[in-house]
Amino acid sequence: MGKRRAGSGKGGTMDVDPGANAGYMIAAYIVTAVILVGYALVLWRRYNRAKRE
Amino acid sequence: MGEFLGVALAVAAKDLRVERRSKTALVSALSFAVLTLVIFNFARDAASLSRAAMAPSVLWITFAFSGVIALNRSFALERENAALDGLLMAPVSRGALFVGKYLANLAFVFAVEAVALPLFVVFFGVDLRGAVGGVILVAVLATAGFVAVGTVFAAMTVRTRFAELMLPLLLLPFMLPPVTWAVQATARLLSNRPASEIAGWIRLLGLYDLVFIVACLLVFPSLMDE
Amino acid sequence: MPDRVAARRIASRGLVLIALGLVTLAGIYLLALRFTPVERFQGLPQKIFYIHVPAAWCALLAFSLVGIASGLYLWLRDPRLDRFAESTASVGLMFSIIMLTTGPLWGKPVWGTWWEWDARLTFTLILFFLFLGYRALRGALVDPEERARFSAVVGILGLVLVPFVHLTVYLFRTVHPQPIVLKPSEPSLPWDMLRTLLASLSAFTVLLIGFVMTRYGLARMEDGEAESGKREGGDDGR
Repeated sequence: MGKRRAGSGKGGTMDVDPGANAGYMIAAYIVTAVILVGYALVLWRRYNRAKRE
Repeated sequence: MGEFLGVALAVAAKDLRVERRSKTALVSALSFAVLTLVIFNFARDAASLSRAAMAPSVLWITFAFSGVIALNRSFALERENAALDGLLMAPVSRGALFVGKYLANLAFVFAVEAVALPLFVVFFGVDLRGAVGGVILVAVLATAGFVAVGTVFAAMTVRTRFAELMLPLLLLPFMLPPVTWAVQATARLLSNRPASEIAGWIRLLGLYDLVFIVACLLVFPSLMDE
Repeated sequence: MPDRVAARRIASRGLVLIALGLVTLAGIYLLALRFTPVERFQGLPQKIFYIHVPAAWCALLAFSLVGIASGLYLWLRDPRLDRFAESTASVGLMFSIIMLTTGPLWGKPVWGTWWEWDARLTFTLILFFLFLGYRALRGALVDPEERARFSAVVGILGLVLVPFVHLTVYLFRTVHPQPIVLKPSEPSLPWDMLRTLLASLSAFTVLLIGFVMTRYGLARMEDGEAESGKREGGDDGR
């Protein structure tokens, strides 16, 4: 796991393998989408309920 | 102005008098401080973490938590005896009420810190020579800051159900800046860094105090509306 | 009655904006993942930047709005301001949760640890606790007027706090490799990354506005319901 670590800007070292650590990125993008869409759905359901009354 | 001060001092004196008789909050805050210091001393791994490295943080954890415990009691008495309404019916300036409560809370927390500091020196073998004045100044400034906000929040949370939980939750973000700055300054003081390195932190603490004491003074009356 | 119609319109328009924002976000996802170059030193996780920064921006913006609305409420005592503050605080809490989850997901692969107590991350945590505290306080107070007043105090004091926390950012040497969380003051960001960031910022801002409008409209609809329907005049203590 050590070799997948990117250097924090230590210039001149080997560029990181672009495919590495994709999991973190995917997780972040998915979590964000879930939270945003989820909240939107919650609000939409509340709206429908309030509209009916 | 004289009346303002008079009211404030009267309120403060009343609080302190009540506490002197019952001593409950003072004792719990002090016990907490001693307990924290002792636990930190035993919990650390002597090989990996030197006392000197931990010292400023431990000191401020002790101060911060004991402070919150002391603040918790701030309006508890009024709530229990519905005395706040009586206080509010009197034609006193709400600002004076705040200052009185603030002074009493300060006296309280300072008393706890005054006991905790020597204990800290003893338990952690800290060499305070030359740094005493600075450490005390930093403590006074940082405490003055978070006690101001704490007084306001104590007045609010006393009306809620989980007051003892509510107060630290609300207060935490407001304690972080002064406490982190105080730790930074204390760490430098204890390592005898030159005064120029410490002056900046002290100025920051002073600024924080100024801004928040004024803000709390302005905002406190809104809490007391009926 | 016209009041309720107005509230419904605000809520429905807010929902439209949300839908718009979500669709745009899907486009941003594509843009960021497919059409933006991979950063040299950090690799793929750097792309979290395109979500993390806009979320932080929205959280901070929301918080400032809560603070301003709180101050105005204490001055004017208009319940609409309170409702606005409450709506914005809820939305802000959501954005700060996004900020707090994407931050460590970015940090772990790049710095090797989930969390660093550098000033910027501490700032995000403080913001989260402020939102949380605000909401918790509101939940614990029953009387609507008292609830509005007390949470306004927290809101305005929180706003006063923010510059101090921000000050701390400039005082601590930070491990944050990308020197941007809140201010894109980085002139050397290449254009194809900058444009993705700006696009994402716009999408997130649209979402912020949409969410706040919807929440606000809903709160007004539900308050109006409570007033006309029942005699007690209580609302659900949000």
